[in-house]
Parts: sequence; C-alpha cells; structure tokens
Amino acid sequence: MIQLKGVVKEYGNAKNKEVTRAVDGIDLEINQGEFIALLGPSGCGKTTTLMMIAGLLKATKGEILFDGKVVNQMEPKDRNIGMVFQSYALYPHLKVIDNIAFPLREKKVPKAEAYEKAKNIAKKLQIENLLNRKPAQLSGGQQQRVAMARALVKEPQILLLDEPMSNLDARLKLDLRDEIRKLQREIGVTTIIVTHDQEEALAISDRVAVLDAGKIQQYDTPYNLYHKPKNLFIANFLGTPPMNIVEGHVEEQDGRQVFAAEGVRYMLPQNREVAKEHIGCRVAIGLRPNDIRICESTENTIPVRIELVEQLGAEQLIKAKPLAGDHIIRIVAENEMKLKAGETVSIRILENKFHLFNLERNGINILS
Amino acid sequence: MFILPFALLTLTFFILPAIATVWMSFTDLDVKMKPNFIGLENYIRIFQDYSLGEILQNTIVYAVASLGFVLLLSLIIAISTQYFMKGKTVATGYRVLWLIPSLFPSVVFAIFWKYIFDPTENGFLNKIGMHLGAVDEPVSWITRYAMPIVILGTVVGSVSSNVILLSSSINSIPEDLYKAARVDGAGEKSIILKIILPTLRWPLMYITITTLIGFVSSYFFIMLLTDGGPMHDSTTLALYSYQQAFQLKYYGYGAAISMFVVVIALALTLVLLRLFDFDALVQPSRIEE
Amino acid sequence: MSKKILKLLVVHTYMAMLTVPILFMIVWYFMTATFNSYTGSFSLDNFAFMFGPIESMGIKLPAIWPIVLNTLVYSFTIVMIEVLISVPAAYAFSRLDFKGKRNAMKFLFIMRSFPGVTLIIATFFILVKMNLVDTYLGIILVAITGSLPGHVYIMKGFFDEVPWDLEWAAMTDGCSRFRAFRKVILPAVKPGIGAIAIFSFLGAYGEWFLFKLLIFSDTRLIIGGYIAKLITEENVIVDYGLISALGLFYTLPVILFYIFSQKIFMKVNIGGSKGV
Repeated sequence: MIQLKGVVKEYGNAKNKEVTRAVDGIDLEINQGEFIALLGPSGCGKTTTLMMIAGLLKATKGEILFDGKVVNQMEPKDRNIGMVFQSYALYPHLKVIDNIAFPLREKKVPKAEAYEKAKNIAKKLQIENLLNRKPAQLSGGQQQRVAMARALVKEPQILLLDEPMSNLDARLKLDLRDEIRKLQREIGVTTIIVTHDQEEALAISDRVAVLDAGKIQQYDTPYNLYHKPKNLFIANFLGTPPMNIVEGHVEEQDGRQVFAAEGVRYMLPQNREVAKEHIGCRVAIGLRPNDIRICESTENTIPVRIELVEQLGAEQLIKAKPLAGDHIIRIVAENEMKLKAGETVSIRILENKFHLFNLERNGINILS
Repeated sequence: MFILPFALLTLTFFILPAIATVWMSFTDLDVKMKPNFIGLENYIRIFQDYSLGEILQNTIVYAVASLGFVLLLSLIIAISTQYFMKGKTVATGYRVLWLIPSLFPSVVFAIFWKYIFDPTENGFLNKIGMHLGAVDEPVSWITRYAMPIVILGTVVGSVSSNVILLSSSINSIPEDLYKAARVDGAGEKSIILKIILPTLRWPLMYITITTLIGFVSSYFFIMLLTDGGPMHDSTTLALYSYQQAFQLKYYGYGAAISMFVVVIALALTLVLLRLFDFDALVQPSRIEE
Repeated sequence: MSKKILKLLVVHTYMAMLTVPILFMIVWYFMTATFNSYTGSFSLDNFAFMFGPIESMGIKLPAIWPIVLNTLVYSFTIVMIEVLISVPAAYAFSRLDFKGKRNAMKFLFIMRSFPGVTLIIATFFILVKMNLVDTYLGIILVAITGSLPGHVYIMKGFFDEVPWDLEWAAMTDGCSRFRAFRKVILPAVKPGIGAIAIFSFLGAYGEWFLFKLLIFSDTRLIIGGYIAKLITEENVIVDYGLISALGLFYTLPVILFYIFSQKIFMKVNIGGSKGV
C-alpha cells in the first residue's frame, strides 16, 4: 500500500526568492494491486506528485509511505519502482534487449538470468522480434512497449506511468490502453498513471484522483466522478461535451424550492431540495448535455431558441439560448429529431440528473 | 566534486593573474624584478605617451573595420548558401572552402599573407602584377598598406565560424514562412529584410560583441604579420601592452596598458550578459538528492 | 523559371567573386612548395627537411621529427587533460545543484569572453614564481586554462540537450546519480566529447605564442613555435618554397583530420540564439 500524507512540494526561485507551491497538501491512499490515475490540467502538480513517489523529487513537507514505511529519504534506486516516461526515455546507445536487461544488470542479476528474463517479458509484450534493434529504429508504439518491458522486467512493487500514451495516435492508444490494463491485472502490480486525458483515466483505472492547483479535488471511482462530482471543478472538468453551468440562486415559492437564473426557472423535485442555508446564495446548476430532453412546452420546462445544430455523427449537438437569457445551453439530441437554427423549443431537465453547486462555498456540490 | 579541478586551474591561472595584473599596474616592475609601488604613475604615463593617440585610433579602426567586413561577408555567405542555394551541394562546397582559412594553424595563415604581400619579386602580388605589367617594380605592400592588410587577413580568418552560426539560425526558419511570404507578394529583398534578418538579430548581436572582444584584445595575428609596423602603423592597444612588457621589459607599464583592454572587454562582456537570457542558462537540477 | 536561373546566376557570381581569389591564392601558395623556385619545374626539394637537418640561406634548421613528436605529445596531453576536466565540470554546470552555481556560471561566462591574453604578463610572473617557465607542465597548465572556459561552455550545451527523462529512467532503473552519469549520460554526449577533443587538439596543435613566450629551449619546441621562430626572427629572408613546404606538412594532417570529423563539427552549438 502506498500512502501520501499531507505532501507539499515547493520550488524556490533562485533569482527573486519567490516560492511557488506545485503540490499543496496531498493525501492519497493506494491499495495493493490497485490501478489509479492522477488526472488534471497541465500544471496541476500531477507529474510532480509522481516524481515524489519515484523519489526523483523530495517532498518539502509531509510523508510518503510504502507499506507503512516512510520512504521520503530513500533513493529512487532502492524503491523498487518501474517507470515509463512520456518520451519513453530508452537509452539510445543500447539495443532493445540491453535496454530491457539494464535494470536487472544494475541490480547485479547474473548476465544469463537477466537476459533470460528480458526475453520473457519481451515475449509477453510481443516485441521479441525487435530485440537487436536500436531505439531510433523503432516506431512510437514499439518504443512504448520496450519502455513497458524495461519497467516491468525487475518485477517492481510499483509501476509509474507518466503520460505513457500521449505521443501515440488515437487508434494505437486504444489498443495499448487495453493491453496495459490486462497486463496490470495479470501481474497485479500497483500502478499509478499520470494523464491529462480524462477518457484514458476513466477507462483504465480503478480510482482516479483529479488534481487542480496542487490539491486533490476528488479521489473516487470513475463512475462516482462522473455522476457524483464533489464540486464545480470536477463537474466542469469531466465529460465531453462539457456540462452546462448556469449561475443563479435557489428561492422559495409556495413552499417549494425553485432554481432561478436569467431566463431559467426550474422547480426542484421534492426529494432533491437543498438545505435552508443555501437559499439565497449564489448557486450554479450543472446539467450534462445528455441529461436534457427537448419536449413539448409543459409545466417546469424552459423555453429556448436554437442557435446552432452540430452533427456529432451518432447524435446531434444543439446549442440554444433561453428566450430571456444570454447563456448558451448545449443539448445532445437524437438524430431523428429534425431541428433547425432559429426554432423555439422547450427543454426538460431530468429530475435526478442535475447538480447544484454553491459558489459561495468553493463550488461544493450541495445535492450529493 | 565534479568541478574541483576546473576551479583550481581557474583560480591559479585566471583569478590570480587578474589580481596580479591590477597589482603590477601600480608598480614599476621591470627587468630588475624589484617592484616598487608607484601609485598611479603608470596610468599618468599612458596619457602622456605620445604614441597613444595613434594606437587608440589604430585599435578602433582595426576592430570596427574588421567587424564590419566580417559581419557583411558572413551575412552574404550565410544567406547565399543557406537561403538561395539551400540544400545544394555547391552550398556546402562554398562553406567548406571558407572554412579552410580557419583550419590553418595561425602561423601558416600568417605566412600565407606575408607571401601574398611580400615586398620582393617573389611575392605573389608582385609576381602577378609584374607579369601582367600592372607594376614595374616590386611594391612593398606591407609597408604601404599595413593596416588594410592586417584587416583583410583577420576578416578572411574569422568569417567561417560566424557563417556556421548564422547558417544554423537561417536553417531554423521554417520553409513555410518563405512560401507564405511569397504568396503574400514579397520579393527576395523583402524576404531577406523582413524574415531572415530579424531572425538573425540575436546571433548577430552575439557575434558583434564576441568578435569585438576578440579583435580588441588579441594581437597574435598582427604580431606575426607586421609586428605592429611599420613604426606604429598597425599597432593596437593589446599589442602595445605586449611590446612594452616583453620587448621593452616595462612589465608594470605593460600591465597598466592591458588594464585598459581588460576594462573594454569587461564592459563588452557585461553588455552581452545583459542582453542574454542568463537565467535560461542556469537550470536547476531536476533530480533532488 | 528563367528568372530563377538568373537569380541563382547572380548569387553564384557573387559567391565566386568572393571565394575564388582566396582559393586561388591558397592553391598557388602551396604550389610554391612543390616547385623549384629557380627552374620553375616540379620538384620535391623543398621537402628535404623531412629527411634530416638542413641548411637554408645560412640558417641551420634542426631535424623535424623530434619536433613532430613534441607536437603530438603536447597536443594529445592537452586533449586528454582538457576532456577529463571539462566534461565533469560541464556536467556539474548543466545538471547538478551546488552552492554558488549562479555566480560560478556568471563567472564562466565572463571568463569565456574575457581575453586571457591580456593577463599574460601576470601569468608569466606566476609561472616564474612557481618555477614552471620553460617546462611542459607550465605551458600546458596555462594553455588549458585559456581554452577551458569555452570548452566547458560548449560541453554544457551538449549536456543540456540530454533529456531529463533519460536520467530519471536510469535512476528508477537502479542507478545512483553517478552511475547514471557514467552509463547513460556520457554515452549520450559522445559527439560533444568528440567535438571538444577536436577543438582542443586544433588549439594545441596550432599553438605558437605560448611557446615563444614560455619555452626557451629549442628541444622542447612544437611545429607552430618552430615556424613562428623562423619567421619572426629578425633578418631572416624567407625562402617561401621551404616555408610553404613546412606549412603544407604542418597543415595537411589538420585538413585530413577535419574531413574525417566534419559531422561532429557541424553539431556544435556555439551559442548564438537567445538563451542558449
């Protein structure tokens, strides 16, 4: 098990003595054999966190524990980790087989045994026909496999993947993703992947830690991240097309709660009302484009004018504006619906599929 | 420690001499090797030195004229080979030809010029000139045109390294930029003026300052070719300090003169430091131990 | 299309006008080495110096081969020491954190563009005080200090180019920092080591000034110093046939050497673009 307790990383600037915090107090627990992802926009501190786990960077504050033992001062070479880098970082002067055997040779494993193991892992990754080439003669996908083999050959306790697939084309990415997942299950090695690709993170890992501004915003299963976002950042960050966010407030009307914004009035269902303290606060409603239906004008619907219709292939994306408002609402609709720009329609919000975030309290989700 | 040997060497043969030079410039150290502290006397003497005006003028003419020609030639060669003849074998050919002078050991290079401008009928120019009937008797070129000859030699010898530098910068301009410019109706002249030259701003600035420092402070080539003569016609400040110290053995006075050169070079270096993004040069380690 | 040809023609004319005279003079100059200056016919008389001490116009020239040996010993010693010192120093400047790195770097920069020759008067005295005048040790130390800053700077450029990923990978693969330097970083900067080796060889091979100043015994001369002595000594009427034969003998190895190592040359980033 890997634990991070209140880990902080600060960088000093030699010139003006300014200190910037790349990682600002991270708590994280990763169970044996688990596959987790660190996900976030660039500059959120995810790679820095990975580097600290690897031991290449030292935490300014806080503790990192492997199986209950503090490893803050342990050298990277003693941590028994395998790592795959974004650029693959294959040693250009060594042949593929020597690259793969390198970690074992550094561990003073006898030559014959090291090369035997290297060949076995190469077979598993289907690169046994490349063993005598130099890295420069390989394609991106092949290099990626060699890097995986090199990371796994010493049977590490932890596997660290730093954006391992960001340099591959889309199709290859999908194949490799499945393969990595399968391999990880088979070997059972605890794995941490750093990525900025949310689809990849959600698809591949057991749990995902979403980072922003050096802090973990939510650490949860992919399902919960999508369906039960803890705050506005998570809601906004995950999902394509992105969630609609409309700012307004919740008010009481005839004993019922109503979300009101410019051109939008929506009466909340009784089983999803908010606590009294949030009434009158600045609140945003979050609506996934898939969770809005276009319908006849009835009670509790919102009239909108269609601005633009985009074909997505399997469905169509509607961009509409409330009749009395100026914010765009994106709606995913079936292709069968014949819709035109300029038309006025009504939309209905699915009763248990909306979220409310209190903007006065850091955008926390007040319905979950 | 990785830099210990480097630090030690630097200390003994750079910092120590630097301090010693300053100290010597305040003494009357000469062939008797018994230095006495004489304060500013050497510096006062510099300003009373009747040849100083001429030498300063020589230094400026030498440095500025050489720099001008070097820049012009390097630009012409770099742009021709890297833009007009880009990728052609003949371009590489020209560049390699220009590299030959800089590959010559400096003594051989100096003798080469001596031979070209030799005052007897054995000299290249005289031989050719007499053969063609352009001159009737051998001309003593070096006596007559000492400074221009020194400048010519210097320029030919220092063009190639700058051409390499400029070429790699021109090479980094994406081909699409030229295409876009042509589509926008730009002629060759405006491509050179508006695309290539702006790209070369930094390398040119760098070349200007480093070559200036080189020309102001070095005297090897002049020493071999003319030894500053005739009289002081091709003596520059740096050469003068050498002559005072090692030929006339006025070590203290020589040191004082070389302080002038040092100050000029230091000022130029500081300009260079300011212009450059020094912080990009000093990167912290990205592994923490 | 014809406009394009015309343009190329103009460019070629320009280039040829600039290049051909110099090329012609160089060729002519070396041709004098292989002709007898009196009869004008082809001869190798001028190369007699290769076969023993000769006398030319009343001056006795010592045998060349011991001097060639000196030159080689001197040059290769310098190359070795310089590589051994500048590679670790450049590595430290490029990739390690140490106290005062910023200032050391600034100092290196100043040193690099600083004319070491202006300090030669004082250096001479320090050598006198250390009793190192007229010794190889003394001249080697001075020569190396002079060229080291530039080479450290070039080498640093090569180290800067090595991706950090590579060093990180080595560290997680079980290397210590030093072992990563040896097993992974050094192989990656081989072209750089080649480049500074060539530069320091050319520098040492072409040296003459320090020999004129710091070495008094003829038995310790190298070719550069030897030729310099021939041409700077007063009242020597120069026999160009002989001198250019010597020059050719001296230059040819460098040119050949250059042709074989040209690729490495071109890789060197001399540091022109901003922030290099």
